[in-house]
Order: sequence, then C-alpha cells, then structure tokens
Amino acid sequence: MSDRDSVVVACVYCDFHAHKEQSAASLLASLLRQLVAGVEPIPGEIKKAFDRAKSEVDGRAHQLPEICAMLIKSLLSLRRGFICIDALDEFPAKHRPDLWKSLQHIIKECPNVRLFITGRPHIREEAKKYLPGYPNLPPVQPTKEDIGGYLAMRLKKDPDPYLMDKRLEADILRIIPDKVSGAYVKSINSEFKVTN
Amino acid sequence: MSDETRQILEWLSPMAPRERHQAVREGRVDGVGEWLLRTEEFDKWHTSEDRAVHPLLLCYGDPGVGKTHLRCVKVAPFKYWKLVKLT
Repeated sequence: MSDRDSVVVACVYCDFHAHKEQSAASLLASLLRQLVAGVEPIPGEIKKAFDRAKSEVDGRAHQLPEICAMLIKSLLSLRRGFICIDALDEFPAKHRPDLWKSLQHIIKECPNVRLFITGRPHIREEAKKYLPGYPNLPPVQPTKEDIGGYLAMRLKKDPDPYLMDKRLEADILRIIPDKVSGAYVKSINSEFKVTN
Repeated sequence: MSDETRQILEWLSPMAPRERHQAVREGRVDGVGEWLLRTEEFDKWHTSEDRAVHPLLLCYGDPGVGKTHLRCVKVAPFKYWKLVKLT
C-alpha cells in the first residue's frame, strides 16, 4: 500500500459506557480499520493476521504489538496522518498506560503523524509524563459567539416556534451568552432537552 | 467492496466511529471552536511537517464545554470523506 499524496484523518470517540470493549489494541485497530477501509486490496500483512485469527478456534483478541506494527506501516505509506482521540479520560484508566506507550512508539516511528487528543483537565498529567513538551493551550471554553450560535440554532429547531414569546427569545439570545461557562452550557443543554 | 474485505474490516474493529462522527458533525454549529484554528500552536501543529514540531495537540476542559466539537483539520482532506463513507 502506498498513498504518498494522502492526508488521512482517523478518529475514535472514547466512551465510559463502552469500557468492556475498549483496550489499547481495540482502539488502535479502530484507527487501522479507518486507514485501510478505502484500500483495495487490503494490505497483505493485515490479511495474513486475519487468516491466522480465523484459523484459531476462539478467534483470539487483537495483539497490541501486531496491531501497532500494522498501524505504523499504514501510516508510513501516507503523506500525513491525523489521529484524533476524543475524551481520552473516558478510556479505561487501566489500559491508558498501554495506549500512551503505543502512541509514543507510533510518534517515534511516524514523523508524518499528528495527534489530536481531547479530555478533561486531569489528562494533562498523563500527557506530560508520556509525551512531554507539547504546546500549552488555554482550556477549552465556549466563547460568547459559540453560545450565541448554538442558542440560535436550537431556537430555529423549535418544533413549536409560535409558542415562543419574542421578548423571551431576545432575552435568551442576549443574556445567556453573557453568562457563559462550561457548567452553564450543560444546564442549557438539559433544559432544552426537557422543553423540546 | 468484496465480502472478504468487509470481513477483515469487521474483524479489525466492529466499533463504528462513523455513526458517532456523523452525529457529532450534524450536531455541530458552524464556527464553533474556530478560536482554536486561529491559534499559533494549532497552525504550527497542523501546517508544519517539520519533525521539530511537537506531534501532540491536547485540548482539555471540563465536561460540556464543547471539546468533542473542535475541529482538528482546517479543511477536510478528500480521502477523509471517502473514509467516512466507507468505514
């Protein structure tokens, strides 16, 4: 497989509710699936690994070193690869060291790869330990414009717009963006779920 | 896509990030989180292919602030759409 002009983005979303299924190998395998999904024929080493797994009675789980090696090979065939991991804090804590070490290895082997990770603030400590020296960004906070845009979009989707008092609508758009905070956005979300 | 290819992809990962990704994209308001794309840190990380640029961009924040809706690329590359369609 060689696709030297390709820029590929592969994303995974971690979820507290899917803890049983999440391991470092399964997360990397999900990325690998996205990388090779458009590639025909499937790279030989992946097909071989599949055939081996099929021949085993219980169809063994993915082996981390094997998946990591296949992922590195696929990434190296691209011009650039962007790996996005959303909500890393929701990935099982017991498997995170394995995942960080794999990411360390991937980064070392693939200079063409960029990692985009989101998570709650405590995830910074782990990132500092495994991939020190990353650029400091301010914490993510919705801007006034973000809140205004979001509210306008939700109001537009109101199934009963004729019930909305115009003055109330104007107040919502004027006051709420000014009182913006993360916690506040959460309460707006649940409030809208109730009224809609 | 051949049956075998489908089986191999399924074996690799039954996880379906495409559905989640679609839901995130549909629920996203245009322009949200654009501040990130305007930072120098993002620009360097995203644009430069220099090995000296740190490969990690970490976006952190409390629950509900919109981290999931941040964009990690300025313009979605062509193959990205292809992937979204096929995975």
